[in-house]
Amino acid sequence: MSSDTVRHIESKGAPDRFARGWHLLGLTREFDDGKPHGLEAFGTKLVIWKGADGKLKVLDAYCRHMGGDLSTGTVQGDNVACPFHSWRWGGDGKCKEIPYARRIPPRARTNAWLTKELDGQLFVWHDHEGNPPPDDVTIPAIPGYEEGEWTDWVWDKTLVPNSHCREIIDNMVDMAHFYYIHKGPPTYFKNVFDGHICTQYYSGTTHEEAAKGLPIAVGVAEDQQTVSDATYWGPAYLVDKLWTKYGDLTFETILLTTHYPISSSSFMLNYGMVMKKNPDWDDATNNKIAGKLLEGIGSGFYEDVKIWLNKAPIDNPLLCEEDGPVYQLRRWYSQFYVDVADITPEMTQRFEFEIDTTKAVDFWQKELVEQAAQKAAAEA
Amino acid sequence: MTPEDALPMAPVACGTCGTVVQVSKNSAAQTSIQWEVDSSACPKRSELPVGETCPHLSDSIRDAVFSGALAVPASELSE
Repeated sequence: MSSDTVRHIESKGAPDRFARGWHLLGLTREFDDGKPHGLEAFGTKLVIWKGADGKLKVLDAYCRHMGGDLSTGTVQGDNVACPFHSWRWGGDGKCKEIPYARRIPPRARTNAWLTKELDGQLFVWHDHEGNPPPDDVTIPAIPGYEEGEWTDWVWDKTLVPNSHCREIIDNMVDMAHFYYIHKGPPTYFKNVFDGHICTQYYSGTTHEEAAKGLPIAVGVAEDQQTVSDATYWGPAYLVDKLWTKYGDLTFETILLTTHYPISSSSFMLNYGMVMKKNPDWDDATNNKIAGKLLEGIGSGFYEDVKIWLNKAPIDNPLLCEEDGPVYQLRRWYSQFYVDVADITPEMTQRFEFEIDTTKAVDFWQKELVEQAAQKAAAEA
Repeated sequence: MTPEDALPMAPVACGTCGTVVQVSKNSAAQTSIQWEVDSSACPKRSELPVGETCPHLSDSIRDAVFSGALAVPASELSE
């Protein structure tokens, strides 16, 4: 291709199915009040409720009898009752009782979602083929959560319209957007894909720190303003071990960035944080600090959303050497959108990629020092 | 890198376990490693965090650069 040929954006459109994997629907505390809750997801509506047995249950919300919305019904014992004719459905998907009928029809069975409750979170398993998760596809527990070493969850969510959820996945490898969108110039950036897992190591400074003009250590993960070790466990659940410096204090947090698809062109972004409790503070103070930290993270997501709302889907991004491995990331992500039998070795074989951030950090620091000087001159 | 611009990869065998991976480097600091076998072929893998490159493999890649078996763009090496 000659250098004066115009490059065109290619896009084949969104995948024709939803990803296979564990998806977080929310915190268990959102659903445990003894009422049915409705939630639009996976191209349909789900109903979530806590039965008398204390377990959260998830079914398709639309009653297989006459299409009533179970999420506007009531909880009766372990079952959910449809508001239309009071058909009672169990968490296993079977109709347990029709109060006005002598017999339950033999085919009275709806779609029950396989659930998992872990560390205050509720997950459902989605598989286009309808198979259960393999043993090695799991969600990791947070060490010390049960022992009370962390704060309560601070949590927020935002609906992202007009975007397929693959847009947020691209962030995993997008080194330079951390400077332009999140005001956090990366100094070290590495990705690893292996099986159903995708990791990003990110260490970075801040605009304020870089603007001081002091030497910045490039290519080292340790002892930076922000140190982040983030792993997707499957297609939709990102666990980020995050250390953030503010002055002399370092906050150790676990940030979850999770989503579930609502449709092929919208998704719900659920994000939350626990902070390792500082023993010098009481629980209320620790929770309050965690909340403040999450506010900062949340405003960062809104910056991402602004980009997604306006950007074009692009199957053939044009990359430079300082960009991360977008194509290899998408190859990894594609494993969740094909039948298990069609997963190729290339989708799951280990791939490691470390970016050279030297030129980027050098340029960004010069830009920030210059901006700080201009600002100081304007204020003088 | 955009597939059509990517540097060709060269095989590097780990000096410790013998696993062969495909490697390219755009600069002294940049490294791409493509495995062609399951990563459990590396006996150290199960002891390491998933994102960490095996230190033995890193050593072998460094050796391959020094020996010239793995080419790094010359302008980068002279810096």
